Amino acid sequence: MAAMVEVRDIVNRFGAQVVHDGLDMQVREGEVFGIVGGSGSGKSVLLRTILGLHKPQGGVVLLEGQDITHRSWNELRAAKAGYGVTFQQGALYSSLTVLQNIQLPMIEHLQLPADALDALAKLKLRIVGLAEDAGAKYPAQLSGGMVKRAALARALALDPQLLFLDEPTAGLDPISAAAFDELLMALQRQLALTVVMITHDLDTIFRTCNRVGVIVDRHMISGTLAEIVDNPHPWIREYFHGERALRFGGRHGA
Amino acid sequence: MSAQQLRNFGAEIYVVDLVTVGVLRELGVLLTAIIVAGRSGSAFAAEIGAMKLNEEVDALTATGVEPIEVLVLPRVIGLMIALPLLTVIADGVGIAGGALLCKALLDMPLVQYFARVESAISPTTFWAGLVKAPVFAILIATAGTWRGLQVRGSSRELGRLTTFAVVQSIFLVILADALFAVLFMEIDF
Repeated sequence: MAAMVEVRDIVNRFGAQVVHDGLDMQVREGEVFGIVGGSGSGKSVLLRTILGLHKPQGGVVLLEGQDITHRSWNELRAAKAGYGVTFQQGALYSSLTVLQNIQLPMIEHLQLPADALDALAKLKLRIVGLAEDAGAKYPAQLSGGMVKRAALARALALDPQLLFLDEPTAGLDPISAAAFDELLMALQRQLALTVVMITHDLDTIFRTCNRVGVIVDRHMISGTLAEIVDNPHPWIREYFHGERALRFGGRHGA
Repeated sequence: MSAQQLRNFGAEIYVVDLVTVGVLRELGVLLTAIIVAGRSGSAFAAEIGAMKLNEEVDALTATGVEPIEVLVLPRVIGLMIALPLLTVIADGVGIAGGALLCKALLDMPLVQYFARVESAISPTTFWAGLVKAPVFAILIATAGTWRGLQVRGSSRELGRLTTFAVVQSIFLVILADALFAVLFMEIDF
């Protein structure tokens, strides 16, 4: 299978602090790839690097085989229409309604009449399971779970093949988180999405991810979920076999 | 106070010249710009700073929208339109205030006041004040939006940079005003 996202030999330093030192990552088409790591291990920095929001000190990022680390803004614009992103706190534009939030990427990249924009945005709302009247609300009026769904709707605005999610279930109660996981899985199957997500939520990892990449010692160890769970690295063992993880162990058979 | 000094010389009528020229050339636009710097400069920095903290600016960049294009430019252009209009209002209010004062304190009839205003104004007086407004607007808006974009990390940064934006834009406005004064003197505007 072709690599949708490929990260080669990434080096990220902040002053004397080395976050990534020759990190490699590969995400194949059609899989759900989970990025795991301790606090400060550089998960978000890695995502920002892939999205072109952060320039790495070394290495390259390839999206669908195209190097995006050494591109001009205009060349990147086309690539950016090809993926959707949700940020940790949703990052909905606070001065726009939910519907306008979803329409913004469409207005930026497509030439569509206003009624088509409205119809499309409402469709996206339905896809992520939000009621139509949520569209007229401002982000400040939404609950945490609705913000995550609205952010997902915006990420899907341009029908991307590739989705980046930064902690999609963080801050949600277990029921909402489970519902979000379900939604994500259904969308992933129906739209044949490739999903890259940062997550802390073991439930989410076991429910959704095909493969997992763990950032330890400034590198990434990746493999199928089963491989990673059996990895002997002490941090990974602690993560998947610690007290919190064991409670899930029986349920997921990991 | 100027009126009192002028009265010592029996030259109360020049109060009108002082008010007219002072308001139209300097005070109207300068005070408006300082108030707008405090109000809108801080608002720009705080709005954009909050958007930075909420990762909204990153979200824009990630969708391929240039933040400068949608966050900075509209604010700069908007203020370039608004500040001259506000200056015209300030000029009007300033002249009217002068009229009220002259009537109340100096017992000057309004007709005489406005006749004097008319003779005090040269063709450039009004414009010498107004041309400064768009320049001040650019300074205030860029200082505010720029500081807002520099916010990262914490809400403490947001407060610090918002304050910084206000202080800096007021400073820039006064500095630019001084430069304009020198320039206008040189070219006899």
